[in-house]
Amino acid sequence: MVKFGLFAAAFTALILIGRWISPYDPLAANSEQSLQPPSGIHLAGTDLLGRDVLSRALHGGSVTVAQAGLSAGVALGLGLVIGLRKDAGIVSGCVDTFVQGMLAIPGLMMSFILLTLLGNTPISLILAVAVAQVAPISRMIRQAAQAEARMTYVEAARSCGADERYLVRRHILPNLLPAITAYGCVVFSYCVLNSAALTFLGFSGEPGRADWGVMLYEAWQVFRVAPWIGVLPGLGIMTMVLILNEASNRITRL
Amino acid sequence: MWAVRRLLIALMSIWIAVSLTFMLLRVLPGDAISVQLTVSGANPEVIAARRTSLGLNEPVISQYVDYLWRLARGDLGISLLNGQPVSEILAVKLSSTLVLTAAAVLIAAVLGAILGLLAVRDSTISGRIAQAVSSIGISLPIYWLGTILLVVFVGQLRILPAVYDGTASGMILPAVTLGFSGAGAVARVTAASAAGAYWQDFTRTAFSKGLRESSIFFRHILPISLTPITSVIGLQTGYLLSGAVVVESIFTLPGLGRTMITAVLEQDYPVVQGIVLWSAVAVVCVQLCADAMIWLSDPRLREAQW
Repeated sequence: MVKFGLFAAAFTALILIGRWISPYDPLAANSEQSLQPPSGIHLAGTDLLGRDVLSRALHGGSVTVAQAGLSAGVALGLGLVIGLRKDAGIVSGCVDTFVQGMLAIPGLMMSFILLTLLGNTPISLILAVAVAQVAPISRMIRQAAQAEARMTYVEAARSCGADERYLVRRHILPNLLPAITAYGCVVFSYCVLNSAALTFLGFSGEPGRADWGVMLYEAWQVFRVAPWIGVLPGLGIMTMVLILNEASNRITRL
Repeated sequence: MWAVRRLLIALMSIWIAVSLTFMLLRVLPGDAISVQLTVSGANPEVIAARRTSLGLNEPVISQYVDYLWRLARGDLGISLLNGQPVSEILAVKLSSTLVLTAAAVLIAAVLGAILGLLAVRDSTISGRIAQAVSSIGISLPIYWLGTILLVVFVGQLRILPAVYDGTASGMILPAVTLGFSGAGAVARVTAASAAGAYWQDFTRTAFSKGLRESSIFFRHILPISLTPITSVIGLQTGYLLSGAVVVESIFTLPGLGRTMITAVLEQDYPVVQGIVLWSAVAVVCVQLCADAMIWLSDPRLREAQW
């Protein structure tokens, strides 16, 4: 328990302060230093444009994780609103039908619809990643909330005259919180993978910026000559996803 | 009764997915087409004429009805970029995507089942390795795995082609990449259900009868662990189709994924709409098949539901 906590905290700290401990400017191109293998000067080598890979990975971590975090936040917010909405009425039925339809569309395709709409910008990237998660989250929250609402203590509170709003806020939401947090960690990990996938595919809004997905794209471009470029961003994404999954497991087991 | 109801729900989801995509793409952006033509330097009259000929000046409702009517006859509209019918583009690109996803499903199911069944016994070395491999399968980004495989098999060993050349060997790396990332999820579900099967009454009975562990495993635990694999594969279709987009661009396969990326970047929404429609149909159909298989294989569910 302590070991995992320490490791997760250290990795998060590394991502947070990465900007300030990186040895070089992540965007400074230097054509004479192109595709240098790892050495004492460039610990993780350089990429095609001669930019320091270690610096780009340290900067890219906060970009990728912040972007994924914002997406996960937007998705969870929307999911809560949709999942905990009032049950009755035609609007609620329509929303249910809508969610059903969204579930039939693969996540990345959902993101693509949004990117077609909004064009290729950093904001639309965040929204595109978020919107792909909204339907599964709202379905999960809704199912959990409906199960909770059938519990006897909720019925007891209702029979004492508590109104629906109060029941949701004081009884249902607090009891769902652990499950939502655990699921939120998984959603966060999906957002990390998906937002890096979209920047890998060229939807970063600004080509060449330091971002783990963009770096992996650059590694793919020169895979024959410079296999070292992808190692740090790839391991970064993997570690982040593993930490989030493990955190979710531990919250579930509590 | 069950089949009819399930079929209706499936048709309903496809219809909603189609309408959702239509509304989002046609109503909100207003003017993807004029953006398109302005960039290519067309004058306003040409843009206006093009919009009229595509029916974009009509009320949304009549556009929608028209769209559904055309859809019912198999007409998906034409690409804004080159005027090619979307159904033709789909027909040309579909085959390689289908081969890729089918091969990936096979790899994911077989590898995932093996890993999952090994991972149940976490005291053994093979169990630990299986657990580690399935964790890697879940967390390893597909776009990095593809690059690693390219580095090893194309860059260093030089035994496989980097660009898809239409042969089976060109499909190995893409299918393995996509299949491995699916295997992690399948392994997890299999392990959970196999672990659950160990605690069932019939397993305890089998143990108390003095059966060998291997025969208990093959006769009692394996069959019950395999049912969830069908349902997880049903649920993974969407994920695999998303992954296929990435894998196709890594290995430059001439499939739907790359067509999709170009279409999104150029805001060519009839093509985007066509591919989303195809994916939704695929997801819903596979889920329908998976449900039917589970329903056929497990009589308890039949009684529980109806």
